[in-house]
Amino acid sequence: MALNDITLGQYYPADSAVHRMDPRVKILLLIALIVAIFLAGNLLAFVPVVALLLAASALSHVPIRMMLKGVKPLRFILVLTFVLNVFFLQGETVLVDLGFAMIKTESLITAVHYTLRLVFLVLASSLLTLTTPPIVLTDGLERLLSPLRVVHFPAHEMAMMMSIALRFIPTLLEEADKIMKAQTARGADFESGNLIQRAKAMVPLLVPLFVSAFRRAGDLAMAMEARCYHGGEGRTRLRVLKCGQRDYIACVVMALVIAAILLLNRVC
Amino acid sequence: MQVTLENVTHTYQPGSPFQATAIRNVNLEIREGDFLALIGHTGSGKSTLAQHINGLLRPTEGRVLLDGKDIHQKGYDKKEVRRKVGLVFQYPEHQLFEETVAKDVAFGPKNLGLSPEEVSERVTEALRRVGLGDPALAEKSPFELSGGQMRRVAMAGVLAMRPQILVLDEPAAGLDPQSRREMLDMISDLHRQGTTVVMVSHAMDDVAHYATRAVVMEKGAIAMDGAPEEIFRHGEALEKMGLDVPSVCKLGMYLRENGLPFPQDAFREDQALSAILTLWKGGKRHGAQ
Amino acid sequence: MPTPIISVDHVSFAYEEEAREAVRDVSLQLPRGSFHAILGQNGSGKSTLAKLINGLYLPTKGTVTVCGMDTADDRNTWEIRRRAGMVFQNPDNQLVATVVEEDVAFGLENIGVPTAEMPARIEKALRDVGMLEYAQRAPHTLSGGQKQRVAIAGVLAMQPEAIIFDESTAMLDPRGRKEVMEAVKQLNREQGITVLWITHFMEEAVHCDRVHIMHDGQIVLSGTPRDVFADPEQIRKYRLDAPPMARLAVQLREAGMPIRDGVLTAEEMTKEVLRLCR
Repeated sequence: MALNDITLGQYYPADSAVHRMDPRVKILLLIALIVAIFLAGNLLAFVPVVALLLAASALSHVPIRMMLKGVKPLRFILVLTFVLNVFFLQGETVLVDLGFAMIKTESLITAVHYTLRLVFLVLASSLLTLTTPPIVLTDGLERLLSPLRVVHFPAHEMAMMMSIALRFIPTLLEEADKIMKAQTARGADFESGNLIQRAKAMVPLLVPLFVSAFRRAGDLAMAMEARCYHGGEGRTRLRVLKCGQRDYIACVVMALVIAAILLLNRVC
Repeated sequence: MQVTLENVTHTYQPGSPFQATAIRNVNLEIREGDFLALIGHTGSGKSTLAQHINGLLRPTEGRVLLDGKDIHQKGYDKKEVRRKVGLVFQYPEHQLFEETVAKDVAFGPKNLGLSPEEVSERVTEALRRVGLGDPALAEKSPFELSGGQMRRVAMAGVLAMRPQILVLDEPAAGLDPQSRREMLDMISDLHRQGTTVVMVSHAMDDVAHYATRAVVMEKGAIAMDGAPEEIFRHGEALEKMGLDVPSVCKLGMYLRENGLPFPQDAFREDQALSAILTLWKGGKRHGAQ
Repeated sequence: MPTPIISVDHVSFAYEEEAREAVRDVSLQLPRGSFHAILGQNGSGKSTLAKLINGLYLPTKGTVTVCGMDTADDRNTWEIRRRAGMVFQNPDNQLVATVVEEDVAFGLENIGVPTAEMPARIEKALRDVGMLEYAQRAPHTLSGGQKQRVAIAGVLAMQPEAIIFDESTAMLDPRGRKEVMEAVKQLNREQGITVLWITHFMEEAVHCDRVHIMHDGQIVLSGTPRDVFADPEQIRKYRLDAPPMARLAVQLREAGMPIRDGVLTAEEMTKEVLRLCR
């Protein structure tokens, strides 16, 4: 059945400088890169972004093909963005006259710009998720957000919830597969009928799955308590995050990329 | 009613990095009236095999025949298979979902497209069969019941489809000794009344006590197939596969090692009792001479 | 006699929503280094008793003391849970982390063990249960028996004095059960860890120091395995079952064969049959 085809997360295991970077730095650099992509005011200003993405792909041993996989689910949005911009933006020079509508040079350029911007945004984020295991990412987020504790932001609890979710997704998927099979054996049909019938057919799958998830949650809470879990207070950590040379170099490179973009914005 | 597996191979996620062949080239004929115990440790492929019997899994290679007809052939009605072959998964109580016990048991028969009268008659009968005949219980939520009762409701849900072949994956797992015995006695009753039973089990004492035929799986293939007395003759081989043997077999192995003529084919307690008494009386006579 | 490591003194407990007590007037003492088993059918109160011992539940009557500390005093809670660890039934529902090693670290992180000390303690704990080579694996890729051994390692890393096993083998196959049982016996023998083993598998109780049978919230029978299993008829009344060899011994005795008392395993039965028949 289709359920065990779902591979979890999109981490691409490899041993590279990019993989070994501090997740906190990676998250911050991603934010910087997103800002940089938005800063780029013309197509030429995308050149440093492309260069950075290509370099990161080479350094991390993650093939561009893997990164592009993240774009695929967004293809409709991309096409939509492109089409809307081409036809509805104002422009002066008529490039093609289709009769029912006109394509203007300026709007075409803008459409390409906006579409590429989306593509680059997706590529940049996949670069982070491809080179960082979800659990390390969670860890990085927790440390970055922990200063917000002063304003009572539950950074630790949030991270704990995320990591437990990561731990249990494979278990629950397996369970869903089993329940689905069991109900199929009782004549349930998950595959045919219209939308409403299909939604109704999910009840025998979803109810047991929820019941089981609640049972697991109860068990787990008890087990965590028995192992002395009492929130983030006074907790030490097995893994300590440390910034190294490669992190500093990455920051410098990012600064250069932003500078280059700003420069290209001016020039053109 | 007969199921035949012909050269069945099943590979999970073929072509992916997680590709794994769970069973390979399995040939098995399940005959009417069998109480077949499917033995093997976790990962031996016995659960995969069980799921082929009612067409839940489709063989990657080979065929599954129900009364001589290929169930995966175009035009074969899958509902026909579901009606004839019932499958009870491990911990079946985890699949209950309806508001009341009766509604849950009715799920299967309803899916078969039976009339409401027929459905309700089957529900009553199935609940009675699993020892939950109390009408007040039928209107309770299944989630209010004890673990053992929930398991019976789940069993009833499959029995209400009136399968001619019943496949059970460790029906007694997690039950305490008494409930275990009750569950197995119930399955044994069904068998006596004409249902063909295929039971995946780890508990060799249960196999010794209930099964008429045992099939041992190892590494995705059938390693042994025969009557329990034949299978348990090979105690050492079973232990080598990481399986238990019934305690009486173990006793027999020890006694034979020490030169006592304990019969090879004794594997149940009653057989051990008479075998030991014979030995003892023989020994006494011998000693008296 | 030295003070017991776990002492349950006339304890009763009722769940909030229920009038009937799940545990009624139970007393139990575990000397340091001992291996006790509690047997009982589902719903006999044995799991509730387990949770009373390390303060997951608090008694409604009576007192539970662990290493001299009262569980009802909430200043003791974390120290009690560290010293008397617990392994539960469902192997899937007690592992928290996505990597084995980090799961073992979970308890250590909770009690604030310095980061520098952790790797050595994790390594030792995993080695003690034979799971060191799996340190980097994801829990969902392990077998049931392996998951349970990781859970034991998680408790062990906290350097407990006692471990309570709440039906920890109930969901395992025979191989997994054997793996876990062997690991626990070894911890008891070699490191002197006190074990309270809760189960409904009779075979598992055969080798322990003392067996307590629970029925309907009470301890109805206590003694060495030999004494407790001597009368299969009585055991059956509590919806349990004596080990097959104990049952066979009784039948042989009834048939006039002078089998010695206390035969529980195939090995012991072999000895007796050889003694009488050769």
